[in-house]
Amino acid sequence: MLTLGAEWQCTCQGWSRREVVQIGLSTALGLDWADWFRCQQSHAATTRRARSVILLWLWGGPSHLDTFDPKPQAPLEYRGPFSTIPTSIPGVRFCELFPQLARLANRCTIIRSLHTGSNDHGVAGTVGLTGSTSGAINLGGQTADGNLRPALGALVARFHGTTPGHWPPYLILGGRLHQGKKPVVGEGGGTLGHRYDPFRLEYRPSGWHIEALQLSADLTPERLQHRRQLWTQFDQTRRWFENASAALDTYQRQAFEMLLSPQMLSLFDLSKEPESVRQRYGLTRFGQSCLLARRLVEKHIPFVQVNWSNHVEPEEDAGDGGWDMHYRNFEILHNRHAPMLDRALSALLEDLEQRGLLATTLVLAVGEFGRTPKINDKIGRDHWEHCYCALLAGGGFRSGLVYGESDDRGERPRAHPCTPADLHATILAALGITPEAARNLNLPVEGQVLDAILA
Amino acid sequence: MRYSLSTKEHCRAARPLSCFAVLAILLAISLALSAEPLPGKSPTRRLTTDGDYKAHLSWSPDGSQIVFTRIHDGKMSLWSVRADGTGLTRISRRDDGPDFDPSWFPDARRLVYVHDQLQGTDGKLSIYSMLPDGSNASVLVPNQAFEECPRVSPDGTRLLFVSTRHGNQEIYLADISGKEVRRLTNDPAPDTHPSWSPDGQQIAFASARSGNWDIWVMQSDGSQPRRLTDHPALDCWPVWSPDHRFIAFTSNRDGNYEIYLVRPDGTGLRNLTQSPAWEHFAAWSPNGHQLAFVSTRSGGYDIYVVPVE
Repeated sequence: MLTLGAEWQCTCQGWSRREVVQIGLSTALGLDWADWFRCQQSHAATTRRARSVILLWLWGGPSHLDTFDPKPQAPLEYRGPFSTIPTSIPGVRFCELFPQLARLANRCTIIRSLHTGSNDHGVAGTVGLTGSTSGAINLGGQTADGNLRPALGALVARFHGTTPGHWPPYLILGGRLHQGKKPVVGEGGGTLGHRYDPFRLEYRPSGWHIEALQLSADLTPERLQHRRQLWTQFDQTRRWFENASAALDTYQRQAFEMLLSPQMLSLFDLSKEPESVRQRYGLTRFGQSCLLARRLVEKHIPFVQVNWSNHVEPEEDAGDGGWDMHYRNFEILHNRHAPMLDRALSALLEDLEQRGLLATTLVLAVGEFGRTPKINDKIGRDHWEHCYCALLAGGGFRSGLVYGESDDRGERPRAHPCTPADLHATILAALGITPEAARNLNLPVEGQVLDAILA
Repeated sequence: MRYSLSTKEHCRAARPLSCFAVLAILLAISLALSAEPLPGKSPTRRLTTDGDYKAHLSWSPDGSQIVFTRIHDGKMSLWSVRADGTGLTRISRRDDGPDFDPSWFPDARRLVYVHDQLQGTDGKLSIYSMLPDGSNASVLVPNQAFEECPRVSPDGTRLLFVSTRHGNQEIYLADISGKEVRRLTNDPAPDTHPSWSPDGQQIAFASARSGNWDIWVMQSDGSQPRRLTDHPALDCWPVWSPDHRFIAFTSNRDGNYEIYLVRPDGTGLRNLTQSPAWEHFAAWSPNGHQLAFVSTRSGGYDIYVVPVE
């Protein structure tokens, strides 16, 4: 397990002997991290087009009509109050709230015919992340049949986990997903085991919060702002590590070294970016997470997931808030979510392109479902699993393409219906991971590759 | 915005400052003569620098402070900052849900705002009032549907607000105690963001009744609605200048959000901010000489003030 959680008691005082024993003997982390290093394999990818994936997980479910599949000809109670604008794809229009992405549409593929099997955040979330309902937990707490499958990121880590700097192969920038007070499953290794769980960081204005480095309660963000203090703590940790290294095998040592390496901490330090670049992404949690995602794929990390929010509701605290806009949909969209997404995602695409990384990095922005085409009596839109959209760019995908089509009101796919499982199969294909390779791990790929969107 | 010194302070300060005062006046005159309301050259002042998300600005009637919505440390609540940019202070401290969209009573004794009581994945919007220090909060318009955008009339006797109580977003008028509610708009499209004219006779508002968001004006009894702006882009958040000369509003008609000015008769449209950044939530200073707004020109969401000639 790459997220260390409470087992890793790195405090100002270092680790206790008991904790060392825990790490050495019993924690999933200690063993699985080391196992991960032991298990690195090279998989020749004869048809590999993409090297890395950045998944922008728009938790809560954005409205497809108010983003990339507007219906300007639909009745007012469907189309809503926003206008549409032309994009750089002739004849294709976006909602007016996304002018920068409209400008960059000719670098993107827009899928307008996605559908999924549930309108429950928990179930649809698990499907969106794993491609399967197996093991999903719904709002009522009931668990679907079958073993929880690995997240797409975990699968990619399994096949392309070797990174030049021994960086974690699967990172999530953002907190653990939940709906209400119920956790949502599907971000981890599933049947592949905890070794393929993600390494998780959360952006805070004071810096990155590394869940794995469970810092002591008295270490406040204010104190963390002093880099010197932080470095001192890591120095202490390193000293402890040198003393304790006799108890660790080579692989465990490698895992710890990676987590504590100045190179890795430097990678997370966004102050190394020019201020103009930081501003370009927007000084929001999502914007800065997108910037870090770019830094990570620069280091050849194969899968980075950026969670818009860890909860679905937009009004709830924790800053940006999710996309679950049952009420105040239009107010929140135009005041917060749309400008933030337009700014951050357009900056990410342009930044990747300017650095020559877009051709090898697949960027995918999608939520777990869409929202009801008909506006409800609270000026919001409710869950809609029957039709929604996704934006993809780079990484061996065609550009300037709209795949699939929804009907006149955005209620159902009219052409080329496809599912999250199809999307996963296609992404795996772009990464050179064949269905046969997955089957060899007893992980049959459920979806069909959407050949039409591959370059 | 005016600053005043007590008589004693003034006498003590006057002599040593006299030379500087002359120089400052000359400098101010020089700057005023050279100031142009052009992009990048307008003497825009930045009030906050923290970059946290901000919205819904409202300038206090005495000009001393601005209250607004801010998301800080994961909490959406009401904050204030002095007009010189100092004294950023949280003024609402409820933990059962966000507070947002504050505006002043004309006598500055209280604020009205929206409180969202979160329930599961839904919420309950109600309109509250409280003292400017955040104390003595009480409900003005209890949750019947989704109640928001409260605006007290210039004479302090009436309250405009927006509600979905009839299944669509409409503008309502109540007495200042939140009673005697009367519906002012009745259109299948959403109507929102009401703003009183300085004499309380008219109301500017945003409506999608023409097919997209435009600025409209109606009499304070809801009669004679007329369309003030006519553009396929989004126009919203109108605010009437205290001298009745302008209505400021937000529009994305040039591709990104800017603050525009238009005269109440629909003439004299101009882009005040002209920046590539996102600019929104204009609020007039009480003397009508300045506009505060939120801008992302520095990456985050900060409050800026620009003079209006």
